[in-house]
Amino acid sequence: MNKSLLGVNTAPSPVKRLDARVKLLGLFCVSILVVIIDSPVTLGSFSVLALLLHAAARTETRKLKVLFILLSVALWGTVFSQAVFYAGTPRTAILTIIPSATDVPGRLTGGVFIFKEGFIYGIVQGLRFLVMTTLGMLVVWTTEPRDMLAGMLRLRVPYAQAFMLITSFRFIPILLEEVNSILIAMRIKGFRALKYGIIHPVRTAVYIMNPLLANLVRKSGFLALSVECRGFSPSVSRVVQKPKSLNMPETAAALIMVLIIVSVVSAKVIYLLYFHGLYYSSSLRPLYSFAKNYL
Amino acid sequence: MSHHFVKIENLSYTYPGRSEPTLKNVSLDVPDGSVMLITGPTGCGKSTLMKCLSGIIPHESGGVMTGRVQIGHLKDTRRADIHSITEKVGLVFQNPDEQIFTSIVRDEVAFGPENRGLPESVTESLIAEALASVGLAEALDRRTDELSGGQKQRVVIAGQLAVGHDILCMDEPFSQMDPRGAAALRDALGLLARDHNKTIILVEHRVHEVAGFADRVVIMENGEIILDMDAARAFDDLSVYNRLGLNVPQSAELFARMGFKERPLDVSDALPLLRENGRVKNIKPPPADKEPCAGNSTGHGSRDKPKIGIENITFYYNKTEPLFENLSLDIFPGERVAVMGANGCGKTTLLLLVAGLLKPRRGRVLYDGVVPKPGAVLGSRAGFLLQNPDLMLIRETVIEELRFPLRNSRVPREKMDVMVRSSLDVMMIEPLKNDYCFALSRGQRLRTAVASLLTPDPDIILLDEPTMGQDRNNISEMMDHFERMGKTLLFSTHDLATAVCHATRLLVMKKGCIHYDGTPKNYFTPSLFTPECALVPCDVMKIAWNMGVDAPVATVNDFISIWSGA
Repeated sequence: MNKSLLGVNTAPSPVKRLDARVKLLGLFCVSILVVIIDSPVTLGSFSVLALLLHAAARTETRKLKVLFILLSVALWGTVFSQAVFYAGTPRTAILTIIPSATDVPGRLTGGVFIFKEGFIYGIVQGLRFLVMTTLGMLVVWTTEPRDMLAGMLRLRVPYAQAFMLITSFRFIPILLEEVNSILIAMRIKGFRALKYGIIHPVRTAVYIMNPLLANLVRKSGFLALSVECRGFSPSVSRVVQKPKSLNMPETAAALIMVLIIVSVVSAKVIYLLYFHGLYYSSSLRPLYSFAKNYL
Repeated sequence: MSHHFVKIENLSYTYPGRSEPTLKNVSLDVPDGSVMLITGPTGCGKSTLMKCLSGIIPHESGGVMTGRVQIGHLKDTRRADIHSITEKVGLVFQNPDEQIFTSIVRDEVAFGPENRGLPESVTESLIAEALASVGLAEALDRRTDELSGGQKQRVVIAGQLAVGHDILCMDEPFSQMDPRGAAALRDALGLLARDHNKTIILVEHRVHEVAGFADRVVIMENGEIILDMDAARAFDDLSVYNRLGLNVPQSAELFARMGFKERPLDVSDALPLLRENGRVKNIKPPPADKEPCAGNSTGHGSRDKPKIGIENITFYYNKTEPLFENLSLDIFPGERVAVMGANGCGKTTLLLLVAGLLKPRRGRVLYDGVVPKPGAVLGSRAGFLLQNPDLMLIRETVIEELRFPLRNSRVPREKMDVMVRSSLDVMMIEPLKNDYCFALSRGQRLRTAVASLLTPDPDIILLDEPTMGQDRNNISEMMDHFERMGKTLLFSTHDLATAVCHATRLLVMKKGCIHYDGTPKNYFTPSLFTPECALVPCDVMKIAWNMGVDAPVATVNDFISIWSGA
C-alpha cells in the first residue's frame, strides 16, 4: 500500500461533488441499515450498489484492487469461521471436514463440520463488513479532508474528535511507508519477516513495533507542538469556513435517506412485534411478508 | 514598543533522571527583528534550548530549570502557561511532513487563524499575507503532497506567521532539504528577516548556508555558549569551527585561507572584495594534469574486474514511464561512488536494485562477475543503510542490535562476540553498548545503524542519503572509516561537500540516465554543471565562474591551487 491509496480521487465525478454532510449522513444511515437487516439478498444488493457507486465515482483501478483483496480475505475469513464454529441451534451439517470417528483429531474435536446456518450467518456478517468498508472508502476517496472536517462539525461531531480522525488519515500512509522501510531493514539484516510458525509472527510484530512506536511518539510530539503553537485546543471555539448550503438534489437525497431509515426501522419493529406475538393486524400482512424476506 | 524580543538569563536545565545539566548558565539577548543562528556539535544542548523557548521545558518535561527565559512581555516562561508561550513563539521542526496535516495549502495556513476564532475575511487576508511573505502566494490552492520539500517547509512557516507569531524558533529546518529546497527556504527566511521584521532563532548545522542572513552567531558546546558574536565578526577565527567540525561559509574560509582579513559570508560580498583589490586579476586555469582535490584517492582495488556490474537494466514503477532503460554501469573494488541528482531521478531505486531489494524488469546485476542467488546479496556481501537509520534499529539495546544480523545468519557465539566488539570499536560506541537505541542522540543512532550493517563485514556498502540531518563530524568519521577499510561504497547524496571530499567517482543522474560519470572535481565546471540536476553550486564555484575560470573548482583547496598557480 502506498501513499496515494488513501488520497482523494483525482477524477471529477458526481459522488465527489456531493456535499460531505450528505455523504456522512448516507454512511450513518447505511450503518443503521446493515445492523437492522438480516437478509443476505438485501445485503448483497447493498454491496452491488456500493460497488456501482465506486464506478460512478471513477475510483482508480489500483485502489479497487486493494479494496477487492481486503474484502475477499475478510469475507472468506468470516464465512469460513462462522460456518465451522457456529454454535447456535438448530444447525445442519452440510459438509464434514474431519469425521468424529477419526482417531485423534476426530475424538479431540468431536468432528469438524460446515454448518448451513453458520454459513448463512457468516455471509450476513461478511456482507455487513463489505458494505460498510466499501462505502467508507468511497467517502474517504471522494471527500477532501477539509470538507470532511467541516461536514463533521456541521453534524455536531465534537471538534477534537473530528480533528483527530481527519489527522489520522493524513498519517496512515506515512505509517505504512515506515512499516515497509522496517520490513526492508529486516531483510537487510537477514531476518525473514514472513515465515510460518507460532512464535515467529509475534517476534516479527515486536520487531516492527520497536522502531515504529519510537518514531510515532517522536512524530506525535512534533505534531502536537506544531498544532498547539497554532492555537489548537479542544476547548477553543474554532471558526471554520461556512459550508455552502445544500442544493436541491442534495437536500432531496438527504431527506430520502432519512425517510428510508425511518421506513425500514418501522417495518422491522412492526415485524418483530408480530414475530413475538405482541401485535398483529391482517392489513399488515404484505409488510410482514416483505420484512421476512428482505429485512 | 514591540514585544518580540527574547532574553535568557543564567538558564540551566537538567533532564529528569540525569545528574549533569544539559544547559549550563546560558544567557542570550535576541532583540526585536534579529536573526540568531545557534550551532554546535550534536548533543551540545541546542534543541534543549529550543524547548526552553517554546515552553516545553519546564511545562511538559519535568527536570530542574533555573534561571529565566523572557519572551516579550512574558517575564518568566516558568510562570506563564504553555498556551500563552505558544501564542508568542512559532516552532518549525526539521521535517515538514511531520507538521503538515491538511491536503490543501490554504487549509494548512488557515488552521491557526481559525483556531483563534478570527472572522473569515481576516483569515483570508492573513493567509495571503503569510504565503506572500514566504514567496508562495501562487500556491494557495495547491495540494500539500505535490509540493517539494522546500515548499512544504515554507508552508509550515507561513502557517506560523498567519497565527501572528513574530518570534520563530526553527530547529534545523534545512537538514532534510535538497539543495534547491534549501536555497528557496533561505531566500524566504532572508525576506522575513529583512522585510517583515521577524525575530528568528535558528538552530542549524548547515552554517555555511544560513550565515549570510544571520545577525548573530552563537556556538554551543557541552551546554554552554562558547561564542556569541555579530555574524560579520563571528568567522574571524575559524579554529573553533574546525575543532568542533562545524561548517563555515566557503567565502569566509576562502578569505581566511588566502590570508585576507575580511570574512565575506556569501559570494555577493566576496566578489567585489576580490575584484576591488585587484587580487585575482591574474587568475588562470590550473594545468590539465593537476591532481584532484585532497581526499579523493582513486580507490584501493584494480579496475580490471568490476565489483558490481550493472548490465542493461530496465526498470519502471509505471509501465508508461520507464525509470531506467538499458542502464549499464561498472563499479570497481574500493571505489567510493556518489550518486547525485534531483529528487525522483532514480538514486534510491539504483541502490535498491544493486542491493537486490528490487528486481530489474530486464537486465541483471552482477557481483564479482556472477549473478548472486536471490537473497544472497545483503549481509556478508553488502550492507545497506536506509535513508532514515532510525527505522533500522529493530532491537532494544545497541549490543542486541549489532548481534541481530549475525544471529539471523547463525554465526557461532564466539565469532559473533569478536565481530560485534570490532564494530563497536570501529564506530566508537563501545561505552553505549548497553544503552537503549532510542535513547541515543541522532549521531549515535546513525553510528549504531552503521555498526550493525558492518558486523557481518560486507565488502560493499550502500548508503541512501547518509548525510541527511547529520553533522559534518559524524559524516566524516563514517566515510573515513569506509575509506580506511577499503570498502566499495555507493551512496546517494544531495550534499556537494560530501561528494567532493569523500567520493572517488561521481554519478550525476538526470531522469534515469547517467548525465555525468567521472571524478567529482571535474564535474564542477560551468559547461557541465546543469541546473536540471537540482544541484546548487557552492560559493567557490560561483566565485570562480564569475571570474571566468573554466577549470573545475569544487573546494577551497581547488581555488587556492588556481590562485597559487596564477
